[in-house]
Parts: sequence; C-alpha cells; structure tokens
Amino acid sequence: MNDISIDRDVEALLRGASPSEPWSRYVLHAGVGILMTIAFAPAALVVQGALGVKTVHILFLIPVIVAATRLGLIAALAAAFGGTAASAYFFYPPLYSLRVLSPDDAVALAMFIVVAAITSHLSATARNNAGIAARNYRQLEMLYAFSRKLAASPGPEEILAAVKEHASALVGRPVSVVTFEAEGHRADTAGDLASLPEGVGKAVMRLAEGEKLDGGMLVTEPSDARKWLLRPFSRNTHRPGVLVVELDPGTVPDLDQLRASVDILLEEAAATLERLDLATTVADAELRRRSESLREAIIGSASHALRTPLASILGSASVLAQTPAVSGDERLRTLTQIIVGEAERLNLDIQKMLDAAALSGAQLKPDLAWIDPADLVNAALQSHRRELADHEIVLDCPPDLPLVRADAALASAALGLVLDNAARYSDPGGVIQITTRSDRGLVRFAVVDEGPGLTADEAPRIFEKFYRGSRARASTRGTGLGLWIANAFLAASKGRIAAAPRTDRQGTCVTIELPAATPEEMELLGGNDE
Amino acid sequence: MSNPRQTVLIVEDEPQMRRFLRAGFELDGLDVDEAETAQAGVKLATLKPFDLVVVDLGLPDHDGTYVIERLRAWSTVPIIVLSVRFHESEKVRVLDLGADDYVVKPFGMAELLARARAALRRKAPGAALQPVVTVGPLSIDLAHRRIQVAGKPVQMTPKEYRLLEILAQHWGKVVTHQHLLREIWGAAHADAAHYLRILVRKTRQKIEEDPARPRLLTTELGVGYRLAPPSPSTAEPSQAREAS
Repeated sequence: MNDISIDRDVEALLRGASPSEPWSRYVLHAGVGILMTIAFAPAALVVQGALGVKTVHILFLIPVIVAATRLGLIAALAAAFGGTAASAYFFYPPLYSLRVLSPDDAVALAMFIVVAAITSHLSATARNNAGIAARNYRQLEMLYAFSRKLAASPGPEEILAAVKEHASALVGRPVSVVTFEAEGHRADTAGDLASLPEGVGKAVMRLAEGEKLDGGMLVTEPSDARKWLLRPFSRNTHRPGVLVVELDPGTVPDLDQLRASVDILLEEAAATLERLDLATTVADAELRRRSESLREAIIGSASHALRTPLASILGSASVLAQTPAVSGDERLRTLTQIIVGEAERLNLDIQKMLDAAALSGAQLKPDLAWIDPADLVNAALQSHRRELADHEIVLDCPPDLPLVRADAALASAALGLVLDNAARYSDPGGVIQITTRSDRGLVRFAVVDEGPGLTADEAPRIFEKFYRGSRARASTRGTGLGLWIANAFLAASKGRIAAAPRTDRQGTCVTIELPAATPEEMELLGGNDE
Repeated sequence: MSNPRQTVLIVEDEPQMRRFLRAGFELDGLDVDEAETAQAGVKLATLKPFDLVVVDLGLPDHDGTYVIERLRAWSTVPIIVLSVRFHESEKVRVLDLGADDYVVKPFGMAELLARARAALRRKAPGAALQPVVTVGPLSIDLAHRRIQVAGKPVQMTPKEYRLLEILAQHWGKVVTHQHLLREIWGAAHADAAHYLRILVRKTRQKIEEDPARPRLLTTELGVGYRLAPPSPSTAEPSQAREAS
C-alpha cells in the first residue's frame, strides 16, 4: 500500500520542536514590547520633571508587567531591555546617550534588568497558567456537555452523532466518523466513509480490519497532500470505528494536544457504548428469560390439561378391556382396543406438538453422556412398543459397538420418532429393520421400512416442519412434525439425520449418526474390572 | 393372589383417575382406599396399614414427593409414583427418596398392575430372605456367590458379580446409576456412568440370550438398571401388552 504515506517525518519534526506559536509572532511581540517602552518614556519624563525622582527606571517596570501579562515573556523581555535603554538614554548622565557614567546608576540599571526579567517570567507564567486553566475549563465544560448528551443518547447512532459534533467543535475542523458492525465488516453505519478521499478511506479500512497504523495515525492523502488524523475507537465496544479529522492545511497543529482531546472524547463515547451494549444485552436476556419461562409455563399447563383427561380415557379403556364382559365379547373388545389405540396415538401427537412448541424458540440444552447404542434402540422400541406391535422388528446390533456421545433422552426420542414414522407409513405386518454400525468415529443407526417410500426430491424435505410426503399424505394422517422434531433433537445432541429412498425395493431408509468413542477412548471408559 | 385381601392406597386428585384405578385394582383382587390430597393420604396411611401406595406427583396441597418422604420416615410400604411428565432427573429423585417405581401418565392398567405385583411380591414376608434369585434362565445364588445361566455355572468378574448381586437384592426395581457406581466403584466414581455401561454390556453378554435385546438386565435410560422380577410360579407376561 504505497499510495498512503504515514507522515512520520512531519510527526517527528513537530514532536521535536513542539512550538505552539510561529516566529513571526515573537518578532511582533518583541516589537510591541519595545514600542510600549518608547510610548511610556514621555510619561516617565513628565513624572521625573514633576517629582524629581532619580530612580525613575523603576517606572519602566509598568510596561514590562503590562507586556508580560498581555503578550507573554518575549514582549516583556523586549520591554525590559527597552526600559533599560530608555532609562540610560533619558535619565542617567550623560543624557541622550546609552552610556552610563555613575557605577551606582549602572548597578541600578542592571538590577532593573534582573527584576524586569524575573517579573516578566513570573507574570508570563501566570498568564500562561491562566490561559491553560481557561482552556481546560472550556474543554471540561465541553466534555460535561458531551457526557450529558451521551448519557441521554438512546442508541449508538445518537452517540456517534454526538462524538462527531463535539470532536468537530473541539478541534475546530471537519470530523468524520466511520463505524463497522463487527471487525472487518464493511458496514459503515455512520455513512461517512464514502465522503472521505480514497487514500484516507483505505487507511480507515485497514484500521477497521485490526491493522495497526504506526506513526500516530497521521495520514497524507496522495491526491492533494492534505493531512488527516485517524483515531480508532476503543476495542472493547462491539462497534469498532474510526474518527477522522481533516487537519487545517494552513497551520501546523499541536498534534499531541489534538490527539489527547480527541482520545478523551472517544474514551467517553466508548464507555457509553459499552454501557449501552451491556444494557441491551441485559434487557435482551431478561426478555428471553421471561418469554422462555412463559413458554414453559404454557407448555407445562397444556401438557397437563391435555394429558390428564387422556390418562383417564386410556386407563378406563384398559380396565374395561380386562373386564370379563368386554374381553368375552369380540365386538366390545375391538371397540375398547380402538379407544386404547387412538388415545395412545393422540398422546404421541400431543407430545409432538408440545415438543415442537418447545423447540420453536427455546434452545435445547443437551445433557451429553456416553451411552450404549443398544440402550438407545431398546428405549425407543420400548416407548413405541404399541405403535410397533403390528410390525416385525428385525434388529441387527453388533455387541462390540463403541459407546456414543449423546443426550440419552433426545437421541432415543429421535430414534423413536423415526420408528413411529416407519410404522405409521407402512402396512401392518411389514418388516422394519434397525441396523447399527460403527463407521469412522460414529455409530450409524439405519431404520428401513417397506412403506411407500419417497422420491429423490422429497428426501431432503421430509425434515421440514409440517412437510408430509405426497404418498404419505394420501394414505395416512399425521402431523408432519415427527421427523422435524427428530432432526432438531439430533442437532441439539450433536447428531445427524438423513433420509433416502430404499434401493433394493420400495421403502424408506432413515439414518441417524451419532459421534462415537474411539477404540482408545473405549479402553478408558471401561475403567478397571477387578 | 393367595394372600388375604391386600389394600392399596390411591393418593390422586383427579376423580376420574381414582375411579379407573379403583376399578382396575379391584378387578385384580385388591381393596382400595382413596385420598385426594397429600395431607389426607399421609393421615390415612397412619390410621391403617396398607400393602401398596400409589401416589400422583401433582397434588393440590403438596408435591407427591411429600407423601414419599413422610411415609418413608416410618414405613417400608411399596410406593409407586404416577406423573404426567417425568424428566429423568425427577425419576432419579423419587427413587432416591424411596419410591419403588414410577409410571408415566397416560398408562394402561396392565402396566401399572405389573409394577404393582412386582412391588407387592418384593415386600412380601420372606421375600428379602431368598438366598437364590431366579429370573428366567438366570439364577443368582447370593449365599454362595454363584451365577448360573440355564443350569450352567458362568464365570463372573468380581464387579460383574457385584452388579448382579445389587440388582438381585432389589429385583424388579430400578437401581440408579449413582447407587450402582457408589456400591461397585466407590463414591469417588459416582459420576463415571460410562464404567457402568461397559460393565453392564459385558455382564449381558454372559447372561442374556440376545445381548442386543436384553430381557433380564434392562436399561432405564438416563435413570439406572433393573433386574426383571423373578419368575413366579404363576406365569407372568415378560412384557406387558396393554388391552389385549
């Protein structure tokens, strides 16, 4: 990037000399100081004529002090020498000559010079201090106004506007602010980037991308040689940004001073931005927590409200089925079986809807543990034993599979939903094969049914919410939630699910993959068996 | 049931639930008493002896665990907990408090009755003194520390034997991971549930006909393990099928 020159030479020059006022002004001050003594001379002559005072040179301290307080050290020293010269010329013999005859007078004049010099220094220092105090006061006042404005700012945009306004008032130059949403992202939210010359814009981008520009971030625009000061915001805010000051081409500014005042502004702004970030985060978290607990409460009460009557229906029907009157009558037995079967199915569907409601928004917190793959399969088979009762289950689960890392409840529920799906969409009496295999760091569970299957373009879509395959839609009722929930459960448990049409015959193959222990891990997981 | 009439206490606030539970237990030959609240249930249990307590976890006045805690202060009566939704940690909690079993609502009566029978048999007089527990083809001789499968002795490692011993002492009941880990490996390994997974797998390979589909040593996912109830003289369905 040789189109941007960081102005190290100018910088060093300014730092070394660090003059705050140009030479021309000193010459002017010295001239004024001498003129003041010359103007004062007639007054001194009048006083001497009237009072006959001998040590009239004391009177020349008056212009010295005036020059010191008004114009500073240079003017005061000039006035002191002017006063000495005037005294020698007008009042000490030989008159109208700069020579002084009497040793007393010479000592008096020398003393005058010393006193005038000290006085000059003291009053000039006092003047300087007063000036600094006044400037500090102005800056403080400005900073307070700025802080008040920041405190009242409702958002980052207002804070940036305030930074711009105050920085510009402070340095008396146009100021631009460029901000970025996150490190390296070229989203200029304040919109000033476009208005900067190309070279400066590039330097700003480099700063925003985390690059360090050394040399105090003074940049010279190659096209017109104007100089720009760049100051990055604090890194602690979530909103990195750069403040850009266009320097006055006519005057040489006090860079350290400028930098210091801009940095104070930026620190204030950064602190406010941080506070604001924090406040937003806290408010967001609180809102999330409340909506989460509301959701949990609603799901909990819906679960109770729906399941309690269902428990009575299912329980009563199951008791009825055992009474001699019903079990002895084929028709009545069939009817109670329908009640039981439908109630159980309804229970599963309610469970799915509640799971779906809980999933839409809330984040599942998986409780990962090492689990035997066979346990997952058996738990799924056990909890769906009634739905699977009319199908032949063929289980192929080798005894030496590695343990899988999963949330037991989520993974077995997902497997159960896949099994339920297989049973629901294939004819009674059909075979459902469950095969588990170890494959390069994971265990794959394949559930293969003899149902209507799915087309190649349907395969990826069956995990979408409420999606139901065209063939399934025609034949069976369902919520279209089961596989979507299974997918979400597995995603939370660091697993994966996929579906494909069966290749050897009609049917669907759903595979679930879970991360598994390596052989070395298996050694450790077993502990010692002594 | 050969015993004199046994009595079950049902602590449940839903009248419909109580009604069908009563009908189901009475059909099975048990007498039934009912309580609507936790307080009333505890009070009733102090007034007369019960052979079994069935308690709902969501009661209007107290959590069902209140009933378990109060009863366990002085009684070893079998307790079965019912609840609409059981998280694994809640299951572990009610078991730790001293419940014998839990059944998730909705459930079929046959399932509850199977659990109830196992609990009643476990607490029957003399049940605790059996030196040999026989479950299907598996026989665990606690007195001689011997394991036989289908009449043939099987070599067990000390930990495998200890696992079967603990499960046999609590046959029919879920024994939590924590309990097993503490007993077998010591308190320092109470979190190392994976030790248990591997040990159970090895044990199953020695005792189960099909280790992939265990019938004797079953897993309660996220909770613990259970040794199936010993084979009684009267045939009991190994896997209760509802309403059939």
